[in-house]
Amino acid sequence: MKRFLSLLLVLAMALSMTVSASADSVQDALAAAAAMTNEELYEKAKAEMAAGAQLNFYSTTSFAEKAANNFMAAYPELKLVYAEIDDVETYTILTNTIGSGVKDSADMALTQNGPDLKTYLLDEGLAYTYFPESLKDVVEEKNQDPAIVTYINSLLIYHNGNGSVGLTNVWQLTEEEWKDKVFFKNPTNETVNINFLIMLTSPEWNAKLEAAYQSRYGKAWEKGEFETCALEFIDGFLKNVNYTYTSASKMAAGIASGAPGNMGLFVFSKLRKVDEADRSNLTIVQFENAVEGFSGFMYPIYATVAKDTDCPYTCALFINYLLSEEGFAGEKSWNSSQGYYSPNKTIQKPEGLDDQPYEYWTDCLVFEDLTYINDHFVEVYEFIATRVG
Amino acid sequence: MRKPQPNSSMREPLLYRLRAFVTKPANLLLVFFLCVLAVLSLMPMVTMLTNMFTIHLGTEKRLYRMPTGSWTLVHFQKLFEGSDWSRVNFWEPLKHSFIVAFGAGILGIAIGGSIAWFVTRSDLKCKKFISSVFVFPYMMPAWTLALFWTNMFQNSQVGGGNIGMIESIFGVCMPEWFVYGLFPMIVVIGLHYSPFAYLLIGGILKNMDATLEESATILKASRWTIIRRVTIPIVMPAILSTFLLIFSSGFSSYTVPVFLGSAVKCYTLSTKMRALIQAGYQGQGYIIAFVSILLGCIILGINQWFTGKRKSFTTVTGKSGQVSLVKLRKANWPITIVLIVFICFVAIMPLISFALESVIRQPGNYSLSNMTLHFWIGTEDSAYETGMIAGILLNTTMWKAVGRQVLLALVVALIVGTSGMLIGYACVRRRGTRLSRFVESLAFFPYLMPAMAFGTIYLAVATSENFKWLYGTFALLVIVSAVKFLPFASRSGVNSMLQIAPEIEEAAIIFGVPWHKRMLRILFPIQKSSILSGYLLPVISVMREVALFTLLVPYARYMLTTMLFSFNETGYAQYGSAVTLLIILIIMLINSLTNKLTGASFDKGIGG
Amino acid sequence: MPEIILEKVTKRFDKFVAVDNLDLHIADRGFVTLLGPSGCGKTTTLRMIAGLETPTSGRILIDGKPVFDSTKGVNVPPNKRDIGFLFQNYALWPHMTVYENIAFGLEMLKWDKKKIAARVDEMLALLKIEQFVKRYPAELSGGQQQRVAIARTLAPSPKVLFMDEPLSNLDAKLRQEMRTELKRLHTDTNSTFVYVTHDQLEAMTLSTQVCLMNNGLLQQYAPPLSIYSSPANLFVAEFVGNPTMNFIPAKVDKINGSDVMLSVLDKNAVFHAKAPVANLGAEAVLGVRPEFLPLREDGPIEGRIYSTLPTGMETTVKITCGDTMLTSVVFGNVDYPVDMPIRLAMNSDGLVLFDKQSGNSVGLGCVTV
Repeated sequence: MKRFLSLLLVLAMALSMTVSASADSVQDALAAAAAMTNEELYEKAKAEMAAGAQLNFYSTTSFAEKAANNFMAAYPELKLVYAEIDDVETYTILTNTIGSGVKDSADMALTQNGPDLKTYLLDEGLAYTYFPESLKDVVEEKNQDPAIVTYINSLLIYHNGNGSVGLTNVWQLTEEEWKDKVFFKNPTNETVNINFLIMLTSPEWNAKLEAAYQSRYGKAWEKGEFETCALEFIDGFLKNVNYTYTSASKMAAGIASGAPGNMGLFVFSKLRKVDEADRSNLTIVQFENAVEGFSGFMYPIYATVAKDTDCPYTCALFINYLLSEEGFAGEKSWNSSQGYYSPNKTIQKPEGLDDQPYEYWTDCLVFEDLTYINDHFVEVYEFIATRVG
Repeated sequence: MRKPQPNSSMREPLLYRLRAFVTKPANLLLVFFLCVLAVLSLMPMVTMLTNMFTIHLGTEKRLYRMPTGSWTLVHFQKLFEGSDWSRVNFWEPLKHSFIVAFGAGILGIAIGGSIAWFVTRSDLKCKKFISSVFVFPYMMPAWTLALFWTNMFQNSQVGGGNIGMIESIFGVCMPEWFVYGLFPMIVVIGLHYSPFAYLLIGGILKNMDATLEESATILKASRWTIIRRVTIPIVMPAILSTFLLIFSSGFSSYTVPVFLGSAVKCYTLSTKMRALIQAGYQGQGYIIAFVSILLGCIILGINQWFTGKRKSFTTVTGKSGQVSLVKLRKANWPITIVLIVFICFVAIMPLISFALESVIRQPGNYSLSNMTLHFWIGTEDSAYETGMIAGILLNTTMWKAVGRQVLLALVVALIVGTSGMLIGYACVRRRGTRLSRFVESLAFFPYLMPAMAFGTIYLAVATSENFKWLYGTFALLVIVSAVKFLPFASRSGVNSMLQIAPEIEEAAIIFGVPWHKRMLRILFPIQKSSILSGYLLPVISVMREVALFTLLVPYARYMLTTMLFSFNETGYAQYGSAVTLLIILIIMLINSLTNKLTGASFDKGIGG
Repeated sequence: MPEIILEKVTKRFDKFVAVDNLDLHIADRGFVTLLGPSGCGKTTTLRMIAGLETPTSGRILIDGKPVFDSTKGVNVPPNKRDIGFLFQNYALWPHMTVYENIAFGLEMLKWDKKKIAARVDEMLALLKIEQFVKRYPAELSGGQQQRVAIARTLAPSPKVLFMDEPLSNLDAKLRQEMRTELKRLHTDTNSTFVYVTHDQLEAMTLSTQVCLMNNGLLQQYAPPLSIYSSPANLFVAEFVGNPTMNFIPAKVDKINGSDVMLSVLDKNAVFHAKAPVANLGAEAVLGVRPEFLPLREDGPIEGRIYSTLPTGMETTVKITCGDTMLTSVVFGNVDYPVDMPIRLAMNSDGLVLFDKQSGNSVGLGCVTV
């Protein structure tokens, strides 16, 4: 019996060692890969493929599939398998599968909602970040860890029919006139929306909202029923919000074909889903005039590598590719649509797309700061949840 | 009386009783299913219970500042302590769930029951049409009916101000309560399950001895009195159990409240559960799931208490009851026309609407110039604009998903139908024993568990060390669906076996007919149509299930329905409509194929 | 040859005792009726002998071989017991034709096709149902279904035939007819019949032995006539016989060997038993069959006519005698006016004396007033 137990112990130790060894080697490989050229990575990646690996990557965006196809065309000996997962289920699935040893679990994930990525994957050691040395000069530091492959923005957009006008100050959205005319996906169902609202409570945006308040009402905001100015804004905003649409595409198409004067705060890129005949009904507030407060928000898609991947170099090469002009602005990929922005400053939006480059948006949009959100999630979520239900 | 030797009395009778026990196939079946179900049906429950008392990674860990996995009661405190949080996340949604479930139960029975009465008990015209078309809404995923409802009734006065069919044709604007919120939820869920009530109640009415009604006629009771005092009490057990089934389905319905409730901030327990779990309040989410299960158990208890008190009224004894039809006289044609119009609206109109929605380029514009087939047969280039690779009929991903869904439906039907029949047989033969009651409840238990909670728990199981080979496999979906859809099949098994007098089998036992031959040559042929419907039901359930699969599929487009749900969520409305139509057509095809080949069909009666 | 023995057979369903410690000996080629009110355990007993129900304890032997023994763990399945079983609701297989219903069991016994066909034809002829051979059970009347069921049961020539109230679903005339047929079949087939009924008349007319049960307990096991003439207890006496036996309350004054002094109907009387009387308490019940209470002008008992019920062949007369209602049977068709005073005799040696407390019969004899 004793013998058996000790044998078991040894086995368990050996097992845990191999596991930790492989974990270390993934991290080491990623560190090494960061310094390599694409040609070197390709060689390493080919070796991984030769050893029987394939890169399973999970993503919530269908453009990733296009990018993967382009990638495989550029590196014909590498095999990528794309699995689309529902945004809502992303982290439930990833935390359960990564490291569990199940077949075809993710090697890499392209996901939104940074705070959860940090809590569920990075802090738990289920996934690692990677960023190539070669791009450190052209990508801002805050966009490097975890690596952001694209930014996506949600903008205030309205139906301009019947001489309707947009807005100049976000506080207007809290006023009676806009009751039920502001369309926004339910923040308790849509993580990027709740993150945006939480970001409003950050000192920076709270101050901007206070300034906008001053400008709209001619007096300084004062603490009353609400602890901060941002909370008062959120309260007023949510009172006016209409949750008719459960998806951004429907919201885009619905507002375009719906009643004039309706305002939506939704994903800009979804304008491509709006039928051309209706598209002229929509005006992007920011393109019309600057809005006091904000004119929307920006959220990133992060790339992370699973701790138990068997092809870290392929992952690294693919991330390099996504960050490069070739990958981001390739045929039918992100750059060809409105509303996607590479953090790589050398990549510009194509001419004639009625869009602006990444830098244009940095001041007028609320950006996701995952540390801030993680620290304040609970209090603001509960404030919001009791106002939504 | 002489006392037996303690030695022999203690040991031998036990041994003998054991032997007597195992020689009966019904006992062996019960023990087998007890073991299987204890693992597959109770285990998720245990997992869920522990989840209610532990701290999870993420929000909970941050909020309560306790290490992950530690035991706690805070979830209960938070959810039930009198505060806004408690009201918004528990009490209000509970109230809504209750109203929806109750209303849907009543509506489903009122519609299904009265159509059942007209079809089985009166000389109504066009019965064949009515009975075969009326079951369509049950074959459609419930949320597609919800979509249909908004497509129909949305108008410039409510929601986003988009114009629906009714407004564009008749210029009528329905008020907001009619378009969104509790009322349409009740209507949609009620309509969706009314065919179910129709089949169950119709089955009883069809077998009911007409003399029961005739004898009342002789006593000069009016027709209405007869229905009220004779017919309804006789079908009462069926009505009640149908009501309870619809009630619990309505209570745990997720997709319908999502599409009809969120627009007007109307939440039910199931939508709240999802939101809470998603926001990282898993503990509270599971408590809500548990409350639904508890409620379901109470309902089950009420059901058993009722059926225990009343005898089953409809046992086929071999004597044929003669049915005399109530003459509707002058009211016949008006009633027929009203029913046909109603049925066309709820059963055929959605199909037309989905067909239309799948070919129009721009929503709301039904002119011919706005129509295109490219969502069906478009090639890569033309489909690019909408983000899909190609029209659904040219898309290999789509066809693979179709194949998987159909295969899953068939495999699950085979397992579930057979198990249901065997459980029915075993439970009926050993009726009254504790073991039989226990197995019957266990088999019904998964029904009470919200599909989403079921999926979440099975995800955790399938990714655990011992079962990781299961994850992402087709087998996992088979197991999970088999467990989830066993309840109806075992119900239908019990019902059909209850209708066979035990002597029918005993007569064969006397001749030494072995058990498997008794099943295959006597019991199965006698209840062929009812048992086959036990096979057909899981096919339909699998064909339209979503919530159960979302977490367990390796990727969203793995199954046809998860693909459809993501289309609907992401706004590929035309693809969504096309796939919906395809699903309904596949179900109908399977149904009519079964009908052609075996004579049994879905509408020929669950337990009927 | 088949002889059935039950030893201390008990059947419990949870706490309810259906059959309690039953001993029974069914002779070869007997026609035994299990008789009793509904719920008395008779059907359970039959099903236990057939092997359809498993006893809780006890021993059952058929033809000398134990087919069931709770102490030895013997439990022979029904098909190995060489029996036939006729069910109350016939239990015809609705999806098979008459021919298939009869042939199915024979197929299972692996008879060859020709032999089966011949046997089915034989059965069809025996029960006069040849013309229905291709019909389904639902297309037959109750009586025809019954015949098919009998044919199916008899086809493999079982040594013992069990019947569970086979005639209860038939109308009176058909029942009469089938009774005759069954009795005839019993002699023709040369086998042992065990028959369950709650109809005492059926039991009396058909059987060679009647086993009367109540509440799971055996009350009396005897040939029908002795059940009738010397019932073991009040229950048996009341259950058997139509019109029912008169039960006249009596006070026991003195017991003197086989003579018992009684006060009965406000009179002093002596019961002369055929054997010495024992186990008799202070109160007794005198059991008098209606035919032993003739109307006679010189009778010692006086009463008044309460009502008269002529049936043609005989007439039942209800008489009040003080507080007691008595029944008498008179041969022929007589009609008495209501309230007419009348006198009764009690002139048979077939009277039964019961102890009131235990209900058991204590003696058989005659009464002098």
